[in-house]
Amino acid sequence: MGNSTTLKDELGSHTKPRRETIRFILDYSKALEVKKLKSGVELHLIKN
Amino acid sequence: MDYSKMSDSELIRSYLSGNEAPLEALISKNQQRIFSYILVRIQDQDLANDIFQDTFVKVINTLKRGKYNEEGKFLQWTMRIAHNLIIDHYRREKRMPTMSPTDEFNIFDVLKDNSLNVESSLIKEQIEADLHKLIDQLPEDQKEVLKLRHFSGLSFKEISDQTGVSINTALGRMRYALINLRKLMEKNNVSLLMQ
Repeated sequence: MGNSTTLKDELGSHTKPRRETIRFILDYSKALEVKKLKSGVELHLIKN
Repeated sequence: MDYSKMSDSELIRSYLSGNEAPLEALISKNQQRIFSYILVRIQDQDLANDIFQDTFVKVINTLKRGKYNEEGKFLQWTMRIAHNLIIDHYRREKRMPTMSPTDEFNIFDVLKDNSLNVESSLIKEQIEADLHKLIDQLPEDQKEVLKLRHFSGLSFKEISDQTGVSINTALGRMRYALINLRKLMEKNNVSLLMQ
């Protein structure tokens, strides 16, 4: 059986963000590291 | 672990302890309300996704910096961030017009522009919120007179009857309320004008 889109899926897709948007947010969270130096300076590092 | 049964506060605590998985549950739990809030005001799927993304980037930055202190009110806090980003979007859009009408063609002749109404109502909402915050800083007696006069629409005679003070005292309190409100606006650098 192939993929089918139900009416519920169709309606839901308009009231929820796209999967790639959520993926970006989760990847950003994993990559972000916040470090505070002794001087009080805050560093925002994005890891690969 | 079953994150679906955890409260927002528990999910945030777990996330802040270095576990990434609760973030997905936190987003999943709140995404529909936040995204709908943005979409209704923006009316554009692509832009709404961008603003939703920027909202959570700000959420993550604040959480990871240890600056989150709105225990138990995650949704309201996140909606507020989204709300501010929506206002920023409309302000930017107003400053950067992308098309100028010519004699032959004016885009507004064919497109109904709802965004200006949405923007105006958002700015009005913001102004009202700012005004209420300022009024809350007034002394009780002045605050009472000001609210009865401007929000309940009572006359000074009715205010006098309701509060048990003379009309002159009510007038005096109103005068001081307005003087103090003006000072608070200057001190907080608040403008209550729609531009």
